[in-house]
Amino acid sequence: MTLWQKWVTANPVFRYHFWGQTKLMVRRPLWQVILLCVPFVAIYFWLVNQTVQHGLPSLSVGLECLALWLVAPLISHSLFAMEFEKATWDMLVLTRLTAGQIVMGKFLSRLALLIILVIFLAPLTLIGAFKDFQTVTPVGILQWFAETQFVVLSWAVLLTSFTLWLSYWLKRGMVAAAVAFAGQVFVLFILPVLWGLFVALFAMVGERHIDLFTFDVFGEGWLRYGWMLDPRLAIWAYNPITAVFGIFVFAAERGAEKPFLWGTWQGIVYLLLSALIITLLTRAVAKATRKPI
Amino acid sequence: MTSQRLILGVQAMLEVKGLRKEFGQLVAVKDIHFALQPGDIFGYIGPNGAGKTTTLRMLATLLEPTSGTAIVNGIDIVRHPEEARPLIGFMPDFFGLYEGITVWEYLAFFAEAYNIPPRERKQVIENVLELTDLTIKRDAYVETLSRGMQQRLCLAKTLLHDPLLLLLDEPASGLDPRARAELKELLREIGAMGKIVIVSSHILPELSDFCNKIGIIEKGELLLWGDVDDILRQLQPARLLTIRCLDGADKLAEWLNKQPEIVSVRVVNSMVEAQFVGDDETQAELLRRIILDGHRIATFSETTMNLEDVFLRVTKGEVA
Repeated sequence: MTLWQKWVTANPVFRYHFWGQTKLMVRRPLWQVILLCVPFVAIYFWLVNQTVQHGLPSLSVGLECLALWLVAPLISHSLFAMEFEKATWDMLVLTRLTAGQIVMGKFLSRLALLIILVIFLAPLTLIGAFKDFQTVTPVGILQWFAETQFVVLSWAVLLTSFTLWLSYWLKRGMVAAAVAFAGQVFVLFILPVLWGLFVALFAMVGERHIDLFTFDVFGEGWLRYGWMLDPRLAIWAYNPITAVFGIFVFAAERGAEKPFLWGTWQGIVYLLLSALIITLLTRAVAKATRKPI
Repeated sequence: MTSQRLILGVQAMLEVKGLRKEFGQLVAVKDIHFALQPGDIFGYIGPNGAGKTTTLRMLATLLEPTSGTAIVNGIDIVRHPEEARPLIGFMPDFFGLYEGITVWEYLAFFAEAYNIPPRERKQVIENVLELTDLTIKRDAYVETLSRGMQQRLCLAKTLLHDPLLLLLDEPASGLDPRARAELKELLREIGAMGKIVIVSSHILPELSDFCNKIGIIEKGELLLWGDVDDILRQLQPARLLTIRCLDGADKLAEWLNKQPEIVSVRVVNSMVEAQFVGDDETQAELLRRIILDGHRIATFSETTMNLEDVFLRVTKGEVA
């Protein structure tokens, strides 16, 4: 059995979490489904129209960030906690499913939903970019688009795996969601501000001042290639908002030298962290349930 | 009271050997031993907090014992839990069901999770639905089922992979009298299929009808276990005869006191209660002699101990 079969096509956990509720919807009378879809379709076309009219791709990227990074914890917080709260976990453990199938079934079902969300929202961004980026070549636009989508999605994937991990350890869905959101606010907003203040204080006592609020610093000298290794820049550089904004700045506004692998590297790091969390979670489930991985 | 004799015959399908569970300082289950064979329905009796659920969860491989083990059909559940799981069906006392799917979809989910081959799934699901009388509800959403039906659905799910050992933790709790009667009937059917069924409960009347073996646990210690009849015989060596005589109880009691097979006699509410040692033949002979002696007997019956009497006699009402 291939991993694809094991984790996806022959995995009832994936199917339940991916199709379960959808199946329920489809079974309802067609007019109910249409009625439910109409507001969403209307909002979508309105947004496309507005964005194209005003040429604001940054708005649609912001919308994507907001949607994905809010949705990721929301759709993941109860995946394990629900099993404990509803006392279905024991039943799942006693089946022939491996720990890997349980964890990956849940994780990949959410990843699939996030990808669907990206597919739904991304055209908005692409249309806006082609309309708005007058000075950027079509190849440059496509590169900007791909990098932005990669960073936005990979951060959402990291959030999903982190929330899954919380859901397993905390065993309470609401608590997991609250911790995931609080953690995200801390990493995205509070920590960079604190770090900015810290760096400014150092500047006051005579240390070399690094202006973190400009992107020039990432392209200076050796930092152009070594920015990813400098601990002074890490809190800013690995912040997905900075990453996305940087991609935009380097592509559209200044034409400044783009640091090596900017955007792509952050996305890879998020995915690696996500893989690490999922691996640890799978091992923890395997140990607790005495199941094979 | 010490634990019962242990018959660890080669035919025993379940052997529990020195199973022990400690939670810090608390010893929840103390080195219990018992062995069961195919077709046995084992009533696992004990007050709340005695260690019943802990024992069942260890047998279900959900909890790792501190020491000891159990062998199910030759497989050690501690060393090879994943190999033992296909042989075990466990229905917890508090269980939930996945919502938003129908009864059929729920069973299909678990059929796939139990690796039942796709071509057999439909037939297997139909069989368990029929056995649990849920065929009519196959397209109902699980959250719309009554408590009794959800219990049946959980049992149907537990039976999907045709386990040899069925562990049911308080299966009748929360059920109305009709649902309880139906569950009893269902468990009898399952026992007749040759499976080992362990039913834990503290509601004794619900076990007395269909269990052929019982074990009584208190404070984590298995006080006794064995055949229901053997236990009753052990705890009540003399049979208790209750006789109503139309000529007056005192006269009959005086006569009975002189009979060699009678251990003791007392009169309670104009009924004579006599402790009697002997088999059915001796009992019939005694009745014949009473009548020949001229006593006019209205009723003559043997009062046997029930599980409740056994439980009250054996336990002290302590928890672990």
